[in-house]
Amino acid sequence: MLRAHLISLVYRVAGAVTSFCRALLVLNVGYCLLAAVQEGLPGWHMFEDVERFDVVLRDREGADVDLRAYLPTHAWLVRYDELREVVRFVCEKERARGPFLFEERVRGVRVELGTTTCKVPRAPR
Amino acid sequence: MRLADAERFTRSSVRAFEVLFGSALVVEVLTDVLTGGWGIHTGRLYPWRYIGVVPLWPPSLLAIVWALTVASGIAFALGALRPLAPRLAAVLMFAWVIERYSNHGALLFLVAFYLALAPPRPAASDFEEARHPNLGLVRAQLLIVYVFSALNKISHGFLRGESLANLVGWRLELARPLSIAVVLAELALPVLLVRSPRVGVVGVVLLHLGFVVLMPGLWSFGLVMVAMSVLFLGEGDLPTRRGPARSP
Repeated sequence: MLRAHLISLVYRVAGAVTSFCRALLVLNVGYCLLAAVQEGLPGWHMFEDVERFDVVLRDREGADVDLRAYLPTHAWLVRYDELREVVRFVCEKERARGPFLFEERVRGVRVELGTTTCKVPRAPR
Repeated sequence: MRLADAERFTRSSVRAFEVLFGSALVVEVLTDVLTGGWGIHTGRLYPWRYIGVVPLWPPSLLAIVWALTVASGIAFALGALRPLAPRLAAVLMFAWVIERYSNHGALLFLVAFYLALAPPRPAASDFEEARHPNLGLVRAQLLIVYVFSALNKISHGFLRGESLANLVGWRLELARPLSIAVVLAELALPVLLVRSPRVGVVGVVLLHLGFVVLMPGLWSFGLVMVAMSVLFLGEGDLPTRRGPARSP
């Protein structure tokens, strides 16, 4: 009697797992479709749209600041918006070296940072 | 592979998967240790991939997460602590992903989560006859990653080659055909894995070796993709302890 109940329970649990897994699969594919059309949603986006940068950041002495030194090794900057945030981080962290001159030649951006703000302006692609 | 076999697995492929997935967890930690994860949490480095959902962990908590992730990875590789290892890995990778989001972190979480739903026991006598829908999800996840990665690349103009040229500093004449080759590979591999798993697994290994050579730091992603691909192998595709591969 107990054995029959246990076997029945195992089958019911297995059936629930199967149904749950199928529902997860449908949700998964549905979400991926949504992420494919909606910018900003995490999805399987892998280096599909890497922007070009030509960046210089100089401190008040005119010395180049190596942005890579403030990033983890193998961190791949792919968007200008990410770059802006890294520059802002460096500017705020190294206030004593400021003001800085930030230049991004591809977008024609040239701005002084660290006097009033470290925020890099947006620029058209 | 027949549709009816989509949720059936051989012991040897699941064991190989566990070894590779456990290795991927360990490599994920090693990569974070060696590339500056500690510096992010001490404030020395820019909080790369930090999404601001929860405060950045203090370094001591990061050390605990690293240690537990390595422990769960080793347990996977050894086939030990079966119910606990996938559940622990799922919780850890979820915590990791909501703090510093990455595609490989999300993939490690998803796979660990699927495994945690019904941790496989390859030593069970009826393992190969029984259905394993959660392992079927792992197989499906691999196809999803390749297909959606390819579709997203196509829709974002990756085929023009500029993204690859900007990423690795190649000339456009070289980057363009290679971009097309990457997308074709991502579309072909799901078909190969289903129709000819051994060839498919070799293809997955070669593609991700190529990625790792170009972009060091993607080791854990490559390993988890190879781990998932191994689940497509059927009877006779992998040598067993009893002897060499058997023909079906």
